[in-house]
Amino acid sequence: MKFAKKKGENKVEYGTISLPLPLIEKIKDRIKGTGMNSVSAYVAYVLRQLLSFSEEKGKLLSRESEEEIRKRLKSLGY
Amino acid sequence: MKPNIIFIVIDALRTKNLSMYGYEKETDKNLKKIAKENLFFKKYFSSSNSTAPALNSIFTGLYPPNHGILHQFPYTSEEEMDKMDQQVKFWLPSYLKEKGYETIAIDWIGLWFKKGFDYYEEKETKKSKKFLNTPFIKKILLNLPAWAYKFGKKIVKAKSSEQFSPAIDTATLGISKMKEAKQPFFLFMHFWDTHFPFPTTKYQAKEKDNDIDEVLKKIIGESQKEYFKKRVADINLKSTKDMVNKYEDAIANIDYAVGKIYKFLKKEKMLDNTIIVIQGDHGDSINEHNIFFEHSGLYDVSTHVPLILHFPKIQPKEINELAENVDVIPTILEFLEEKSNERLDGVSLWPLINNDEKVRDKVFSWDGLSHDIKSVRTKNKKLIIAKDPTCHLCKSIHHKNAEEYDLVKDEEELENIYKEDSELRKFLE
Repeated sequence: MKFAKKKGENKVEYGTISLPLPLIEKIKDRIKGTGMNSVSAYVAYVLRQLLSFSEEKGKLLSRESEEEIRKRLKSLGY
Repeated sequence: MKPNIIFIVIDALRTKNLSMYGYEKETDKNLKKIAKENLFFKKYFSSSNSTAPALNSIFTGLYPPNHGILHQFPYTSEEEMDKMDQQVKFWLPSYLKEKGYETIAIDWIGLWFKKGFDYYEEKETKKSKKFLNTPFIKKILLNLPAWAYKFGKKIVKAKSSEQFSPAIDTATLGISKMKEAKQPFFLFMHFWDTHFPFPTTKYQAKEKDNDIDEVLKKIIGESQKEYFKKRVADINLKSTKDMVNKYEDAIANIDYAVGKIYKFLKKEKMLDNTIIVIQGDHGDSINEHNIFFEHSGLYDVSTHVPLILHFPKIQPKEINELAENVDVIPTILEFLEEKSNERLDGVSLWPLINNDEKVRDKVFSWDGLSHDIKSVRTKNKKLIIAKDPTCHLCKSIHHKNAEEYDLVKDEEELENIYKEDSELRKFLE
């Protein structure tokens, strides 16, 4: 059984996508003080949410419910 | 007709406080009875000491480095999420949905765990808590005299605990979903009552002996002291004994709820066409190893969890060989005469169940609450390697860089016998 990955093995590969500059600026504003490191991280996060829940007949996890999950985890000591 | 499948995951349930594992108090009357009537695993371990990585192992049959999620949310990194996206091809709820199962989850954790479920919900919470649990109300409370603060906080706490469904509500909702569901169904129920601060327990402190100050003296790091103080204040704790009482009260509540589900299945004659998996996702440390009220670290208290399996027409048996949470999926797939096209880390437990043939000689765990700690455990020995042992929760350090324990002589993992030439070392490199 193998867990430890050799250097370079199974490394996540990244590609480049283009976004309009004003949108990038808006995202930069949006992520200030949120703990998100970069515009790329934010875009990846939003898309992941979208794709994960596409099976849920279009029902996305709302900002409010995600906030609720974070609050609950905080109340559990995380 | 394919059998229904029910997964009951009990959060932070360690074996240490269950009489079916030798504890002196009967905290688990119903679970013990269910264990006696089914396949009962005495040496079952979780691949992680925290929910997100452990639940991912339960749903994928993969170890955390292979399903990507090494750390508990919100300490999960972007890279871990990316890895999960790229590496996870088998996801149990989605797989069963494709096979025609109606998939139902009763949980609140959401996130990516909603994937593959037709229904993902918990009991609706009362709206009043939104008003009572706001920063505005908290600010008012802080300006009150001490007696009024204490009284006010009790009201707010009582209302805020409503955000967690008590075990009996989860069970009742589960039963009503089973009645409505089209068969076959996959029902996943996650019970949270046993997780600190035991939000649904009604237990009130009775102990007069206050040892909290003594515990504080034992804690060396300031950050851990602060964390501990916050946790004590959260539940107005007087003593570690009270903490145990609250934990056991929460166990009893879940035990009652699970008993109710089992009785329903029996009454409706559903046991002959239903697979049931009852397990803890990870354990907990109450005061062991100077880890207080958190499940950080990879000692057995945080990784040794209960497992009961029910398969239609399979005779009861007590199993004393090693098994791990990644093994449940291969075992179910073999029973269903299905096969995953993807590689799984787990192994089927059927040779063990049918012929007492050992299926594994070691189990692996990763610490989802610290930066970088992993362990390998055989029946007799355990090695823990900590490359970066800093705890995400209390920012202190719970493990030395290398620890090894002789579990035959030292079940409590107190005497570190690690030597450079440890024979277990090669399994963690």
